[in-house]
Amino acid sequence: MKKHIQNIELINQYFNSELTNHEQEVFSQRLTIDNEFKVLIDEQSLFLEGIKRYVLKYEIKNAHRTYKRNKFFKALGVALLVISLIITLFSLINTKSDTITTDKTIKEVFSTSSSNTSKKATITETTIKVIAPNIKTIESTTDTPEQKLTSEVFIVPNNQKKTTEIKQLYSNLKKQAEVFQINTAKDTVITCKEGTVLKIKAHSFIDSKTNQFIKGKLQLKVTEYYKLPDIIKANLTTLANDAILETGGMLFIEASQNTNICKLSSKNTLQIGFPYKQYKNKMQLFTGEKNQKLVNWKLINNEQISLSSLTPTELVVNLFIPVKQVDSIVSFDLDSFKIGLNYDNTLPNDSIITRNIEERLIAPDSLLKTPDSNSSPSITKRDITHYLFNASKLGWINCDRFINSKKIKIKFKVKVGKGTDIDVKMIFKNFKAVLPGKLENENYTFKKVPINEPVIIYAIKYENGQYYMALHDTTVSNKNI
Amino acid sequence: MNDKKILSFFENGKREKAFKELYRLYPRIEKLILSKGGQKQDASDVFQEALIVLYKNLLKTDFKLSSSFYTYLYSVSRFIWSNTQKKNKKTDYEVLHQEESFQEYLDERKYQFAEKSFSELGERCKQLLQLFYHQKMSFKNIAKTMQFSSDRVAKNQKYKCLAKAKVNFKAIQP
Repeated sequence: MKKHIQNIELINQYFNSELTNHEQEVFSQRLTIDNEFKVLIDEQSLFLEGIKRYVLKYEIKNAHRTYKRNKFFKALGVALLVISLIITLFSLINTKSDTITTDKTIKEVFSTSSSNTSKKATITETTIKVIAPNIKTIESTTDTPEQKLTSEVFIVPNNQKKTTEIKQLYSNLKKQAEVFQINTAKDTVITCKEGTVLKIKAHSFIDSKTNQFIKGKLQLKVTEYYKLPDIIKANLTTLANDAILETGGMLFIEASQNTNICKLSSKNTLQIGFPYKQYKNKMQLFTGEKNQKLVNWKLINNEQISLSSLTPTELVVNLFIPVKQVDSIVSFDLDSFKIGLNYDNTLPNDSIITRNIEERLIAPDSLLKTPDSNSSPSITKRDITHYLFNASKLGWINCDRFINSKKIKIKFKVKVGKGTDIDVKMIFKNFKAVLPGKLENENYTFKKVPINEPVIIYAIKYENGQYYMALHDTTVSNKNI
Repeated sequence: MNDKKILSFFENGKREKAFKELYRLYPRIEKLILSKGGQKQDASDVFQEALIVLYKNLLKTDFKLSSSFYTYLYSVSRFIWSNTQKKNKKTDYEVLHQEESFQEYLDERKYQFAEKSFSELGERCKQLLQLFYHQKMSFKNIAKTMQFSSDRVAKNQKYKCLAKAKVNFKAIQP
């Protein structure tokens, strides 16, 4: 055993080349003679190789592990980068295409409503379907310029010079203004046809160009819009930006001396009394701005005068819930409407509009009836028959209040047949408000309409030399979804 | 370019780093083994073996890498795989002797048993033998690091471990 250990030690020294020259010689000699010793050496060297392999394998395995780990982290890094890229891209697209996605839902909604067979469709679709009896022949050459004009109105509505037939109709239907001649040297009180009271102090007017005080007599033109048909015919709507207003009456006041246009001097105001039949709270004064083709109303920080109990409360216009989806589509076909109006270069018979709208408004459930039968209001309120305001500007003036309905606001769509020279409006039955329809993808949309509100959809269209009008009773709902 | 870098790692004794770099070639070798009917574990074993062969050859002074690492490892791996497949059949040694690397592999086959007999030892034995044979540590230092009471005890322990390995070797040898 001892000899064996010694031998191994010797072999070890040999492998490590720790032997002296002489020892090495002895070792080599022994290798040739001693067979047993040789086997021992082979065994030992084999074992040494085994250890080497073991160590090497261990290193390789380690290397493989670090390689895999690095690869994993690299992949993880790339994945994170890609994910973050996708997220940023998505959020970018999302903010950009907010409107696009709503359009998509519109289409979806529409397709489902139409595919739900005629049963559902007939509920929402128009009740008036009279086919046009006498379509006038019209030269084909007039068709093309006509289309050009109309398309320009929708794309470039600011261009006032180009008018559509509908616009022309509205200008023809324009209500005649009352003309008053007043003496600027005296205080004047005017009562107009429909009850508007104007109190004008002496020396209130200046020339709009020269800013000189007007002396002598001037002409005051007042147009009153209290009735809904009048409002419709004047193409007026009751919107303050996106907020719906209930109107207590609109006025258009102009003042002129000869051909010079006059305006109120900065020191003076015009006191206006808007007559009412039923008192409504929180009425405020708005001035109108001719915006594109419609009038947008702006609130004036002008307190309603007269009773102290009528102090206006603060306005919170932004209470409206943002509308993200489309909720309802009413589809009706203008092509099959009765001919409402004949237009032969003469004034169209506007009584048709008036009659039709009024007929619908005097429904038994309508609140627009005269309030005689209503429970008696307090004595003080009954005594006042006018909302009184001080206006500092002439032009479009509106006595309005915000419809701060707590009802859910939805986006309401009206599908009209083809054609571009179309005007669609929504008339509310429960309060005096008219909304303009906005053309979006061949549909007319009304944004932020309170739900379950009974309305009349009014549409007018010019085609092939004919005017068509449509009126449709409905209730704002999202049942189509 | 990359091959040069790996070679320099080997030359500077940074074996693990070199092996890590070479593992970039592994997916392609794995594909080869899988296409020849092997499993993923087979591919891993074959590649490990190929790396050992490569390293052993690199240690030889007369060895010169005539191709890229990839080509070399690919051919060695292919040989190893086909060789393990023929294990039960009689190996055609005439063909195998033609290439030095393949001869190296056949030597390694013998060492594999020695390695196995070593790896079957207890952890303490393995550590002791590694310190002595691989790191060429003296018994004095081994006794210090492994907390033996003296270098003599360490020496005795070493022989016991070696004898045990021999028993293992004889047990597994075919």
